[in-house]
Amino acid sequence: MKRVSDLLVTRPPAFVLGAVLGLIVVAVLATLNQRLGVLGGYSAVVERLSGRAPSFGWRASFLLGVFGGSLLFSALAGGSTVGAGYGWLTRTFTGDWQVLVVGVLLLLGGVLIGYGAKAAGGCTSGNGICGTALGSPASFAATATFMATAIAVTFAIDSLIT
Amino acid sequence: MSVRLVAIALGGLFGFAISWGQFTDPDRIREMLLLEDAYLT
Repeated sequence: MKRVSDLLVTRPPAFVLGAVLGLIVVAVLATLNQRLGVLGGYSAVVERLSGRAPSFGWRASFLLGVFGGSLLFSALAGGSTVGAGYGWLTRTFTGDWQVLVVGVLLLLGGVLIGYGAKAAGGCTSGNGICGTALGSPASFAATATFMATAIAVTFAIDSLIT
Repeated sequence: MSVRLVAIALGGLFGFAISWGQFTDPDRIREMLLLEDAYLT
């Protein structure tokens, strides 16, 4: 019999995980009457800590759950299934300045993602998973835009570093 | 059941699912964006 950790190191079929994510969207809508989104959790925490909101709200609880679920996965899988470092970034930028260069790039990327997600009214989860499932034209436009941009930029970077 | 508990439970399921799918792996995301891995697209 397979151990749980052996099962978890292999990704489940895409149609299984896709269905699970879709059902979570439906469950959030059915039980909370809200749209699923992860960025909203970060916003809720920042707004509460800066005194702009009276409470953390359900979105912060959802974010807490995301962290908890990820930690539970790591515990059951016997460790992270993701390698050390930050993928191609830490493989490309080596040497004494690695921490600074990678840190600055990640910070810039985070700022751009945060700004773009707020401007688009949702992140990849909010627009790409939930908004499109609800048939929102704005979410289809946002998802098409960030996917096309990300694919183009990744190909451009790949041509520079390989 | 309170709204908070429901949100934590569904968030936990979401976090577990995206971890199992390795959506948290920068290399997986890069492979997807280079159209080398159809799993995420």
